[in-house]
Amino acid sequence: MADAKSGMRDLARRVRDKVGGRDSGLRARVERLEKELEADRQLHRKIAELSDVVTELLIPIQDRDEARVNEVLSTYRKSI
Amino acid sequence: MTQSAVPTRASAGRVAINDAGLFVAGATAESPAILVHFDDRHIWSFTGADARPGRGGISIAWPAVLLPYLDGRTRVRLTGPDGPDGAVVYCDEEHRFGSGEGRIRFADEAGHPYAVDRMGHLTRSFEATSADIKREILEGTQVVLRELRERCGVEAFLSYGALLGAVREGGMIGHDSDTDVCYFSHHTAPADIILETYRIERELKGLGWDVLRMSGGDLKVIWPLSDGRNCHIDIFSSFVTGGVFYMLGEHGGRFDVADLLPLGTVTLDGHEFPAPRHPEALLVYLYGESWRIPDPGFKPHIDPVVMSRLDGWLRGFRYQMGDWTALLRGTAGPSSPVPTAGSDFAAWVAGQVEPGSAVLDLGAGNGRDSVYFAERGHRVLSSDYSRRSAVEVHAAIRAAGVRRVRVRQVILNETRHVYRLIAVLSRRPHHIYARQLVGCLDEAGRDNLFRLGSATLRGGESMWLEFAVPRLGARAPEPAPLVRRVDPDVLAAEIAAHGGRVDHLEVARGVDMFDNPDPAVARMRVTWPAASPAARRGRAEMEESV
Repeated sequence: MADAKSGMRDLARRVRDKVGGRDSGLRARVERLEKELEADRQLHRKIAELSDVVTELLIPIQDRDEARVNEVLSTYRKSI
Repeated sequence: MTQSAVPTRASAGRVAINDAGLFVAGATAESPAILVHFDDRHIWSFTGADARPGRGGISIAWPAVLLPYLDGRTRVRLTGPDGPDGAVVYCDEEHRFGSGEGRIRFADEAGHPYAVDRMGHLTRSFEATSADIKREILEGTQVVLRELRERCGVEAFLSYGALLGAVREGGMIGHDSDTDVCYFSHHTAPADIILETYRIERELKGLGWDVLRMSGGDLKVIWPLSDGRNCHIDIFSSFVTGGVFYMLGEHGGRFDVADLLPLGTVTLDGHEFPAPRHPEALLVYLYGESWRIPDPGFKPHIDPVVMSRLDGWLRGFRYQMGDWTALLRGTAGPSSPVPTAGSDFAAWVAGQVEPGSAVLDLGAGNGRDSVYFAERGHRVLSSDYSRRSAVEVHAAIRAAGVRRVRVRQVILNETRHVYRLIAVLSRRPHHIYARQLVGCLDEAGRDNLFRLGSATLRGGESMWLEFAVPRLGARAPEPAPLVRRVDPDVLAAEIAAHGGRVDHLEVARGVDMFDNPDPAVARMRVTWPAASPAARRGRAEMEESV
């Protein structure tokens, strides 16, 4: 009888550990996904800012010297 | 003013008032707006949900912005909103705050009355605005809408409180304090919506207007009025993405764009404005089905999912800016509550950089160290993300009579600002000096700081950093909680990731931003390897070509 009780307690503990472990694993996974989602959302602003820098700053600066523009474009093409 | 706690009890049917707050017997957490008047002038409103429930009533602290004015006598009247049988009057009695004998004057230096808005900010309500000034505000709003439509090519319309006032009352709502306009963007990707606001911002600034960027999706026009004040006209974007209709600042949900476009018109105090095709539908979206019932204390339900989306897409570069503005106001003059003389760290750095070299003072605050470097013959670029800093630094420059200081706003969390600065500093090398700045930055801000160093400090100049470091039992450095302690190892790793090297690190007793003693302050000198001869040649050619 004592063995049966002890066996039940042991089983209950193992089930609890398994479920609890899975819960905490899920929680950590959700937290990680939330962080990744947030980082993805923030990329929108970064894309917009870099697009703006290119179209409004970089291109006008370079446009003043066509030979230089061609050189930069050529170098860039070779570098990617 | 005496120190006291917010009252937590009062006789049945009474209101207990003291210097800290008030207790309204009979009110509950469900109570609708309670309007507070001083000498018959509306100054603030709150709801039961804002207050703390207690025995037989609710208690609430006076708004922080009101506290400095609570010294003297006034007649305090608390009422509910107007109902069919008139307003419930909670109290109407003479009260003396602090030890002052005169009447309380809740107004600016020119005597223009203040109110406290629903965000807890100082503002001026339309109720306290003359008819002439109201007309100027309305005409200014019409001009903004016209330029948005004709110059910027977006479908702009009256929104929020001004639209509500127009549809419900035909006029401005007394407790409102500004006008809001909105436009519908046909873009669906947040990046394109942000780019559209950049274009609109340029167009409006091109008119000579003072335009503030509040997020990637909304702007604020500072509109000057003839009595010397400014009014704020907010421009909010709205757009549909993923089947959800969003309207800045905080709304997202179901709304049929067919109820918005093509635009119609409404009349507000005799002025015609473009408006949603079916304005009632937008008012339901913004204020719920009960929008027809006046509720001065209305606070919108904010969906946390909508907020986290809008925050992630559009925000993140104005964090705590309002707190810094309040902190920096009045810090340059002789009556400044914070130090104005050059800091010890500035003296330490000045002893190590070449005479006459150029210094970028990042996070300049009230400009104490910008002036210090200028007085010692350095060319200084003084920068801070707060526009208030520029006002204070200009005042400090005038007071000191120094020259060779340029003042520019730099928001490190706005990558556009950083790349523009890179373009400038790569042609005109500067040391980068940042006292107590890294403790104010988030990871993205530090990333841009070290990107700036990596791109521009290749000719022998250094980055000089002073910051509080973690120490067991040490209090938060001032101004808490705006500044945090930073682990030098974390910083060194971030610097290394950007190709930089910590040449010097010392941690010792020091001072915080306001020269209060601090048990653990780091001083750090960071350098980047010199550019290769080829890169230097390229830079020189570039300099010649631009």
